[in-house]
Amino acid sequence: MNAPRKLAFVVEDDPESRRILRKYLEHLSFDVVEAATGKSALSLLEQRIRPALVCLDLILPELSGYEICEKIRASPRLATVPVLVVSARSMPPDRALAEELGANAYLVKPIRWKTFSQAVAELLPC
Amino acid sequence: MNLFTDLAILGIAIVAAATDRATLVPADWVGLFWISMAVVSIWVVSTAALRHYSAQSYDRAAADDIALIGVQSAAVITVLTLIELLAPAGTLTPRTSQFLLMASVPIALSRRLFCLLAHRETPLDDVLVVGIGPIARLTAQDLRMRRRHRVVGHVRFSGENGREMPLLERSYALDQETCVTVGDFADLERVLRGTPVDEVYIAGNARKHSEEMQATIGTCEKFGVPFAIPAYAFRLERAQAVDAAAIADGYLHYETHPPRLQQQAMKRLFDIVASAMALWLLLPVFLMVMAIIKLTSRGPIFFKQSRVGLHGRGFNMLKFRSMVVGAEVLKRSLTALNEQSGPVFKMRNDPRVTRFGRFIRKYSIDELPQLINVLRGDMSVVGPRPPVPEELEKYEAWQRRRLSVRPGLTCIWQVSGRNQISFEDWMVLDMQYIDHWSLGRDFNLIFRTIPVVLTGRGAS
Repeated sequence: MNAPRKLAFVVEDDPESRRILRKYLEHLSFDVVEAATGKSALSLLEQRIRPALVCLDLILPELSGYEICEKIRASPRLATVPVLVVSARSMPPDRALAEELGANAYLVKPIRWKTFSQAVAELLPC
Repeated sequence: MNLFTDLAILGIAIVAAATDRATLVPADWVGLFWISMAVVSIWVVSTAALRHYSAQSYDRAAADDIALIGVQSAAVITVLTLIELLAPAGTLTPRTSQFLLMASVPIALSRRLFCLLAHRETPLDDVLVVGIGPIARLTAQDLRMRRRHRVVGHVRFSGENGREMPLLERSYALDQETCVTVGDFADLERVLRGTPVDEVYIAGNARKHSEEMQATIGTCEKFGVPFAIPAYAFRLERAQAVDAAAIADGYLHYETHPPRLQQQAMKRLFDIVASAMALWLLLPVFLMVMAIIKLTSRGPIFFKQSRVGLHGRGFNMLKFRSMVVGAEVLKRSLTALNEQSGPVFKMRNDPRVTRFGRFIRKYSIDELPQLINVLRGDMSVVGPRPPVPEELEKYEAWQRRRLSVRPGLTCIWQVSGRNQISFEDWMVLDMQYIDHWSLGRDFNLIFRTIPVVLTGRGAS
């Protein structure tokens, strides 16, 4: 093995989207940790992991993606982690809101390999 | 209009498919009629269901169009086949295969052509974006992508201290365009006075800029400029807008006059048909007047005057020349003799008018070339008279709302005694027209204009 692989944290309630995100991220040589609800995502973030990238869906059970984004930015340990929002909402005002809450990039579902890999490359230049 | 083209092609295809090739006449008109009705109604229903002609369809990919046409052709073919199967022997039935070729190919072609033309066309609307923050940047980006709007500039909210500027400039640079900021929030009125703007996008954060957003709405309403406010002003987590088609770009759109969309479309259609027909019918009059002007006075036949049209956009209004050449210059020396209050210049026995000019002015014949302006879309048949630029500079803010509709040949003022009415009252009448506009009122005004013109009442 070469250098330790980077960790990507996928927060997404839809299994099919999760599967695609995992596939893409593994292709980009990430280790992937998943959370299906906002609450489990938050407990994982608070205790154990410090990912290199967070892929965040906005519409989640319990806690929304907006709130998780705010929490990430508020935590000193996680404040600099790049957040990539993956959402079905596509209008300028939605995207502006995510940006104001601290998201670094925004992809509209359905995501495609090309746009996804480009966005990740921009967030984490190697 | 697209629907009409498609229906016309369908109609021709039906007739062509039903026509006996040997004799070149359809054998059974009654049968043909019923079949046409069936096909047309299926087409209309299925396209309506699929939003084939909806306003948002312009940015749909060509592939989508082809898929839609496929589905619709399938529906139409089903009906035709059913008719073929069920119809008693001897009834005329269009040959299905023939119909398929004759209808679907031209429709697909016409749509492709339309898409091509639509993309080559210059953007339809000039848009002013208020704000330079994230919403403004993403909105401008979205508008550029849709290609139907051109952003003429951004106005800064007072809280936006320039930190947002580099990001905004970078987003424009990515599309090989340059970002223009036209001023600070305090300059909004000046900007709207100086630049033709078809719509103002108020791209602010409702929690940060609520007061200035409210002030912008007020200014737009006063000036009569359509505006749009973000439909997602608050954080929505799960909720979806019920009428998503109404906020296709994430904004709620407002107009300051009754937004009767169907009637507005009908009005434009009427303008095109009426002006084209009138120009054709009046061709002998045109030729005669042109000859007389040329023979009785030195100078060109038409007088092109620059006027201000819809949303403050300038255009050249055409008239038959009724004055001596250089009349605009002479006007300055006559200003003291103005007989109309306000910024408009009107005068009886104006020494600049030629003899034949007096006659054609009395019967408004000099205004006839404006039918060309109507056909071109600068003007409408009914609407407030377009002001000249100097006049507009003297307008008070509320009077600028006259520019919120397409200017016209005739309006309430023209049928209410014309030059006997003060400028102030004239403006009030125009506002009344704009606020209570409907297609029915337009026709009413047209009929009331006819006797005024024929008797030459109030003209000078």
